[in-house]
Amino acid sequence: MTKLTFRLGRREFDERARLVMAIVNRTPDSFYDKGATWREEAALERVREVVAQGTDIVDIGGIKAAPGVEIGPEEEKERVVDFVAAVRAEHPDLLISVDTWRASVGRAVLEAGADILNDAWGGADPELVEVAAEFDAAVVCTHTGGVTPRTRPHRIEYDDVVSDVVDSLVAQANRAESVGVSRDRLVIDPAHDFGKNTWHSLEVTRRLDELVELGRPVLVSLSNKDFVGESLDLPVGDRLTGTLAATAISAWHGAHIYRVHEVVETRQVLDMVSVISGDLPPARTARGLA
Amino acid sequence: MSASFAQVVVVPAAPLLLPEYQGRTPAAPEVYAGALAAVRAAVSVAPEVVAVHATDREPRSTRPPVGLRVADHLLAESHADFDVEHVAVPWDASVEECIELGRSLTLARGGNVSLPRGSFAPGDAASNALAPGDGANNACAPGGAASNAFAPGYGSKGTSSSDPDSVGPARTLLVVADGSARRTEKAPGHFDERSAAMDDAIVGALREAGSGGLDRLLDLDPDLCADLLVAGRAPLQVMAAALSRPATPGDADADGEKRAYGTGDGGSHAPRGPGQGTGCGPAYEVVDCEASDPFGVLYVVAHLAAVSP
Repeated sequence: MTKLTFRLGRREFDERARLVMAIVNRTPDSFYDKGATWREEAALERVREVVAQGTDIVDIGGIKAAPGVEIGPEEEKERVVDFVAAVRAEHPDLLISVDTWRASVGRAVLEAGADILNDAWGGADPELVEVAAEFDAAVVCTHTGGVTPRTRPHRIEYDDVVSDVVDSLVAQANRAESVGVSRDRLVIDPAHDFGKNTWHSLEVTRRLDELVELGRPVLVSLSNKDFVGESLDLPVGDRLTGTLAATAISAWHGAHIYRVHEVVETRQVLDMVSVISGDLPPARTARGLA
Repeated sequence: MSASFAQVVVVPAAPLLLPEYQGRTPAAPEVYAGALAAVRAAVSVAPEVVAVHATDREPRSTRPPVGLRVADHLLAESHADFDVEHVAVPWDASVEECIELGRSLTLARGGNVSLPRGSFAPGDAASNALAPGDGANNACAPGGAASNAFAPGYGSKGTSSSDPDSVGPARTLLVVADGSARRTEKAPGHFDERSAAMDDAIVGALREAGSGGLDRLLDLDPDLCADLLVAGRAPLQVMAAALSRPATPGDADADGEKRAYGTGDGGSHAPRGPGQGTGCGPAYEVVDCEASDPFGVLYVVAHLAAVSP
């Protein structure tokens, strides 16, 4: 495993890290929770819940990924900025990420106390990383195949999807570094299902070690996605087991951050992989030892 | 005058029809079965195939266009003896370019086909139509498929006459095309309320092919089709032009008025004028025409057959 050190907020991690990033949507219409945390109090309660469950990071989003009603930057700010401030006030040590592609939103949430900008649409706004550099924030670079934000993949093909992912992520990370983002604050995400059909996402999962070998922290966002659903022919709501299987494979390949809906189950899978791989001792061992 | 193409089949351009994208069970088995049956029926009686398909809209690979691969796969799976020539039309070709290409197909038996401008620009996936190792490479084995239609002025493998009535195997026009990909909220392009009317126009034109309906395909607006992710607009317009019977100075419709391309709805984008075709005659009968949208994309499987005048 490649030696690695990376920083998120005030915390430092190494290549053995397997961090849980809990999704908290400030949206009325996201595909999985369908507005469960649209109200601020419900969202704050969700944060309390996932913190209690052991999440390392919360990822706050104000716009669902799928196509839908256009949400402008001001409305996006209304959804997330004050909420970030509230979360920061209540959880001073919690790592806070915000899922946005807009530089103006990024600036506002960093001012409100966020630590990470999760650029889920692959550099759609090139000024986002400049804002991150200004605040010494971490950035998640993602591969989308260059699609427009909030569009679904439609008949996209790659000669080699992993090569395209690597090339894109390296280019994004290099550019972020060139504008001043610290190298150890750059995370890469192959972005399953974004600009990808199921075959692409499976290929990326199968060959995730090739991304890990780049020597940067790797984030995977697998939770309940269509590639899981299509692999098992299961609807949203019945994809946890498949998600956890993909999580285990990704963990075995060495991914570092897992963006998820279900914290408890993910934490158990990651800890189990860490134990098997020797990165974490078992919780308690008495069998045959008494 | 007999028709230039004895058989015409329209099949979807969906990648999910390709073997390399099959899961344990097919995603759209009825669409696939219908498309294969139509191809098999057509090719069994008209084994010389001209396959018209569009270039990929957003090529990110050097693989052949999806439409080409779908055509090759269905032809191979037909297990018929056939000979295929591929004609790729740029997905964004103008109506005029489609008409030019379509007309050239009717004259192309043994002659040349000049493809529209910009068909195969450097880097275009279509220019490497049969990349080594690609599954599509093996798809045309029966009958010894012609693989290279990707150069202006390619020569067909038929007889050396430009007369569409020249003696030779009966021809099938295989059109790989589909309608809007914005039919539902879950569609690839999300919902666009304009897609229903667009798709109705496409399906209606095909279903009324026997009464001149195909001409209406020439009225499809390229910009609107692009907005609605209609992958098949250009191939359908090539088809409409190819199947439109040449006009003669004396041709007139039932009202005694001269007809030209695109007279179905008026306001055609196509050039009109003497000698460009009438498209009004019942040169084709609709053997079958099924439309479906299991994934928010309009798929049409249509089978037309030429009828004797």
